[in-house]
Amino acid sequence: MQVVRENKFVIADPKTCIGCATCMAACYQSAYERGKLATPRLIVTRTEHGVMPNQCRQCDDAPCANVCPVGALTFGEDSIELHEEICIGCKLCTIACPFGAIRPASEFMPSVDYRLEPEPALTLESVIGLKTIAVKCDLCKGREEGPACVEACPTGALKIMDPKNQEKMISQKAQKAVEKTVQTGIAN
Amino acid sequence: MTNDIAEFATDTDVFLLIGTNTSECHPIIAMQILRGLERGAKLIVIDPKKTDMAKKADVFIQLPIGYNIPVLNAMINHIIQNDLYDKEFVEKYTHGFEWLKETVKDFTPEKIEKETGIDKELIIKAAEMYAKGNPSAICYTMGITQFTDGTYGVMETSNLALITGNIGKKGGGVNPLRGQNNVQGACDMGALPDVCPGSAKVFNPKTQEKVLELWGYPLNPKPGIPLTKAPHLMEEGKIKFLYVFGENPVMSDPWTEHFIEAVEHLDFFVVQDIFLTETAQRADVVLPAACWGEKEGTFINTARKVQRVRKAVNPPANLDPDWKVICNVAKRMGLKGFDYKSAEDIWNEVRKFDPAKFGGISYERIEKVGINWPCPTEDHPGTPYLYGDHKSFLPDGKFRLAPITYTDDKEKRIIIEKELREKFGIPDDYPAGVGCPSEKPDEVYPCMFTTGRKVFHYHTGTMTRECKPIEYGADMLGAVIEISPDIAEERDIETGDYGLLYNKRGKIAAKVVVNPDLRYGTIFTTFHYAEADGNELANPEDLDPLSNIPPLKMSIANIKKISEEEFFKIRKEILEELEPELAELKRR
Repeated sequence: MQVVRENKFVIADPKTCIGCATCMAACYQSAYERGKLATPRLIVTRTEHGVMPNQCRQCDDAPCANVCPVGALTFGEDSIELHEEICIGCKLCTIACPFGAIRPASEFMPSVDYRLEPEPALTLESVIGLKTIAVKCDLCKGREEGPACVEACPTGALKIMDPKNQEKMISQKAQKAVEKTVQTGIAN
Repeated sequence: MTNDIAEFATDTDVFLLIGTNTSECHPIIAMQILRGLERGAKLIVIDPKKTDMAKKADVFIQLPIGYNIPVLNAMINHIIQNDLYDKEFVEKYTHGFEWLKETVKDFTPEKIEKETGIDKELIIKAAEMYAKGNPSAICYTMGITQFTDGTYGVMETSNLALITGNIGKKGGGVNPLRGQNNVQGACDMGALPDVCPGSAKVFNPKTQEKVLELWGYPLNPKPGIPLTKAPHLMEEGKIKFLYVFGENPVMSDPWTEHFIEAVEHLDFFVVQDIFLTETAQRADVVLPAACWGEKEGTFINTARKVQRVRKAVNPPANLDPDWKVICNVAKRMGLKGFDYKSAEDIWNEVRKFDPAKFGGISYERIEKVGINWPCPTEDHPGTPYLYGDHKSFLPDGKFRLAPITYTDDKEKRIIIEKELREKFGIPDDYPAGVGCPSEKPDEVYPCMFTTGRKVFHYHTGTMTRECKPIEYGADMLGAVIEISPDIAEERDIETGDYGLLYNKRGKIAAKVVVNPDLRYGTIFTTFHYAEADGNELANPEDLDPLSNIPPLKMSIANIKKISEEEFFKIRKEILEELEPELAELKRR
């Protein structure tokens, strides 16, 4: 039997999402606490018909990892891993990603009060001396409780999809669909 | 609110949200509404912005800013004309149905379509859906109230609920979603110019007797000054001393520049707050106080539920809670009767002052779960929904249907109201009136401008902007000006450009986001950011004649594209004016 390696990923249900952005705040805090670049990895996105956070789908054959020229993005055990210290900020991954789930970012230095700077810092790009790197969801690797966004979501819209429970979900759906067809087939 | 929030999840059949961006401004209430929708309830949203709730709605009516009254009248008219109203309820419990019926006759869905382009089928569908719901709940916020005809807008929601018999039903009612955790509480405690605790009017002889008996002081029967009239009186030198508690009027009052100028005329200005806000930076004395997580007490939420709050952490530097600071000031002034030991002491006095509402709500009873007032005795279970006996608070116990009409010309407002009263013989003390827009777009300022909240920030950002996960995490965009696509196209502005938003009162500069969720010709921004505060442009005149609320949600403005250089320059000017202490630090 062929052994298939599948990644875990976090996904939201737009029906229950109210766009409150608590996930983004939790994401920032988790990244900050784990010593990663302190910026949210999932972005609450509004469209014509609804709202939900958008984040990395941890594609099994990830285009971002395939194009990374320095090996900063690698195929990890159950996710696509980003090594922030290696990233050179070339932004190729942002072009390759079909979901817009990876973006270049940098962070304010915690010790500087930018409001007191002679020129007000309006956006990060306007601050000299900041290195920009790629950021993407890392499933809060290193955080014992798992992804912070899933824990923080007040409506339970965010879920972590594990290959195991995914299999279960798919087979349940298959059962249901077949059962329906079989039943209607008998009725006819 | 006439009803309790939890009923939305369990009982409501149809929701009518008007002038509320519920999921962004009241996420917890939105959660209960979502639970209701999951149960199979229907949702109607009426708003100039296609909010996240509107995207989940069965019917969405995108009306022009400040056009609530005609749309609600058209719905009422359709319900009456098609016999969808609750005849038994109207006959038994209400006054003035014929007046209402005749007044709304001119407001047909066809007329609304002709004037605004809103599909008449949408209005008919909304009216029928609302009338057939059993029960139907109306929720509204500042999108109804903060207009020059705000009070009449509120009366219209009450009319709609009354003719369909949705008052006094579990899961129905008229539900203003309060903007803060304790607005209801503040009003109940008498933090208004004309009331004592329990909404007892100061000029009522009974109130005066009670005050003399309980506190031993004679009560001044003259109502005080509403906040919105204070800046003028400060300028005229009629207000010499101002004491601001936990509020940031420099940013939250309309026409910021005017307020900043007005406080210069004061003899003495005290601000009591937990951070050095834009307002506190102008004060003569700033008093610190413990914040919400650092003190004991009660909050009364929007559903009239009295809830305990407990201290989670000790305040820094052993700061006192607000009540203690006030008591200390009062004692220094030589006033008697401020010897409270705890927040509970004060609450028990409130219970004595208004036993009909709070008499039965002791600290022991709300140890775990809050109780909704009125709750007169210790064995009373509280009142999650009001008017269960179909009796109003008026002396005759009947509800009043208020005939409200609408005019395009605010100058004619008084004449039309007079005509309306004369035509039907409506007495002067009976509610009736005329709605109108406070400002109309003209050649110089062709866009409608409104303000609102973003989900991640709270009001003027005094607290939330100090929180890094919110400021840098949830709120990645910062201050932006949102414009509708037609405005963007006309002025060749794209998302990410810098824009200067201006009218005769002020200007703000920020990045522009083209937002297709806005109705055409509409500009939207927030009042969270000192560097780009939408209230600088808001209209402080044209106060609502009944409540004195200014039309904060409706102004006219114009926008133009500016270069990055210009943007930096304007931003700097604004910041220096708004945050003098910070500017001083920078110069050093």
